[in-house]
Amino acid sequence: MNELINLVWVGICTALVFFMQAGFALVEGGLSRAKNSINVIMKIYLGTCFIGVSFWLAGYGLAFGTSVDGLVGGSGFAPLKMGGTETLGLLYQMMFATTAVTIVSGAVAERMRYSAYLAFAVLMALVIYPVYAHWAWNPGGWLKNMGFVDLAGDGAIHSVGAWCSLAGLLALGPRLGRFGKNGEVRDIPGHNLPMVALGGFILWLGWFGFNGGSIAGVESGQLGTVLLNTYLGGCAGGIGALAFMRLTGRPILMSASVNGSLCGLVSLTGGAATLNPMTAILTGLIAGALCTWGAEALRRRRIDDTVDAIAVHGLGGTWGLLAAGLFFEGDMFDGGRVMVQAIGAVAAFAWAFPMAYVCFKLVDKLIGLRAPTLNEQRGLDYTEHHEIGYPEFQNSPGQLHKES
Amino acid sequence: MATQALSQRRRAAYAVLSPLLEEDALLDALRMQHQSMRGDAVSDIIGYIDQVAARHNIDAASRKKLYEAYYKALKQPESELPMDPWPLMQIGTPAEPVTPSAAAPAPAAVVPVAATTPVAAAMQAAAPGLPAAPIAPPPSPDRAVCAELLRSAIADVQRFHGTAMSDLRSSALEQIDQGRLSQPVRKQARDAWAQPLQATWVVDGTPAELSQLVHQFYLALCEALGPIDADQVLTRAVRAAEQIPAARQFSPRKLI
Repeated sequence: MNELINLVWVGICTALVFFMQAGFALVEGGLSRAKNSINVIMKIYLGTCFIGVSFWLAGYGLAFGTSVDGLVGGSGFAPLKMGGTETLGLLYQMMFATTAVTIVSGAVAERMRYSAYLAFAVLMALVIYPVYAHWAWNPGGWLKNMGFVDLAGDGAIHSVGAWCSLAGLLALGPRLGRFGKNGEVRDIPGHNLPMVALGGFILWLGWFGFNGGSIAGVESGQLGTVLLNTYLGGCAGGIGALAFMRLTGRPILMSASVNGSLCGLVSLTGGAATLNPMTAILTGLIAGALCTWGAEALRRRRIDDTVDAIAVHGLGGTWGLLAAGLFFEGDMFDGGRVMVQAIGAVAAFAWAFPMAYVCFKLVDKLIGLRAPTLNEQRGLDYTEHHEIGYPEFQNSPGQLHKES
Repeated sequence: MATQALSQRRRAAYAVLSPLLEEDALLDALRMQHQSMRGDAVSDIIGYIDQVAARHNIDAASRKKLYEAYYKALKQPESELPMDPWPLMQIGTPAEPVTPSAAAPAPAAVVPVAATTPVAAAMQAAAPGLPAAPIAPPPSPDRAVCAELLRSAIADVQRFHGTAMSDLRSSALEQIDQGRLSQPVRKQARDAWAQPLQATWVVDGTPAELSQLVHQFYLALCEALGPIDADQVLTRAVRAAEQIPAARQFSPRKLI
């Protein structure tokens, strides 16, 4: 009976995590300019399709197949016949892989070729994500065997996604005119902030599936703790961002508030099952403030992250890993445990960043990474997809060419 | 340097005459200044103000005040004067007579202003007392539209982002050097950027080259103003260019 309930619960969680793609589409689409919004959403949509097939083909085997020296899985590629639980497990992990890759799509929005993104997404789903997932989650993985705590992927999903984003941003460069010659940062506001807020709520909802589906089973008694901590992390992240903006005299921005609460959720992804509500709130608070500070710090370093994905997922994920060690319920501030968490965080960067950079450079060599500047002028919606998001309002050359 | 002096004279005249004259009369007075005023000496100032006063019935007391006001305005720093009315003077202006002695701005692009506006040519023909000027054939619709788009965009930048004008020019010149324009088009664009506000921006090039020129201008706008302002300037310029008759034959959107 318990097994059936668990199966149903994981099924529900799978759907919730899948629904997070809609949240990402709304957040990233809303934070980009109108002329690029379709392009961003298309990357997420068709990225989902490619990632699903790639992960089934090889990613799952590399991540969860029989471990070869704790480094990589060596079985379970393109599985055809599996048991019910295992099949659902594959599907659930596929949603995780999709989430990790989708983080990149927002960071590199508004200047990356569509085909280049899809090529990178396939490479990431085939190799980059699964290898780290193996280290962190496979029973034979070297990090797992060190006692690494990463419930639902602070390292495997958020950190890996963020460091791949950073590699992409360094390979791509900033959007046209984002930074002035004297280093000033030009604001490029998103075209639809209500979309961003709605996306934020959807992501928050999806996080119940993200963390809730990662427990050992409903009979473990962890479900309530995990869901409560997850929710409190989101709340505290929003409050942390607000406090940072207020105390430093900055305007209270909705986009930063949404990102703050998302960062709070990210920071609870690793330790939602092993923190108590108080430390969950503390973790989320710090994450929200860290994210708001980090987004600006990155901009000052001329890193043009369209949706602040690195601040949300990279800083939030790394902090979440450390917090999972620091505040481990019943064994707080254990230096050894914190060290393992730190090793996990460093390993995420050391694996994902160089691998992603090489992949981006490879894609650049083969098909070109960056959209031509003329496409940036016209908008990637029309130039890459021959569609525009708001035909009634947009002055697009696309309209003209369709007419003539 | 000479160009700056000309611009200063126009801006000073605009500042002191605009409270007294209606728009048409003001433009007429500015054109008169452009054609007849040779220098900034007191005699030049008195001569010019007398001309304007006679033509537009300005009383003696106001005339005396204008001598002083114009003299002071010519000495004022640029920042305290209104923007150069040259673009306004170009809109619907009678064609300028060719008077080498008059200190007219050096032609910055290849086709005279009159050629961009057939109406202006007609007005010149009707204008009494002005020597006939050679009228170049009107530019093709694509060139006229491109010229109007670029002129409008530059006037827009001058109006809303005046301080960024020199950044825009240097970025644009960099873009021109890096771009794939043919040598003649590149030279015309460089010449036009020597005096962007005075230039006609009529450039002899194919529609593809003109589109490339506009794209390079957009890149320079992005560098100088940032992408949001660049998009806004370009959008307004396209709308302005859509208003000219040539846009019925060649839509400015084909250039973006």
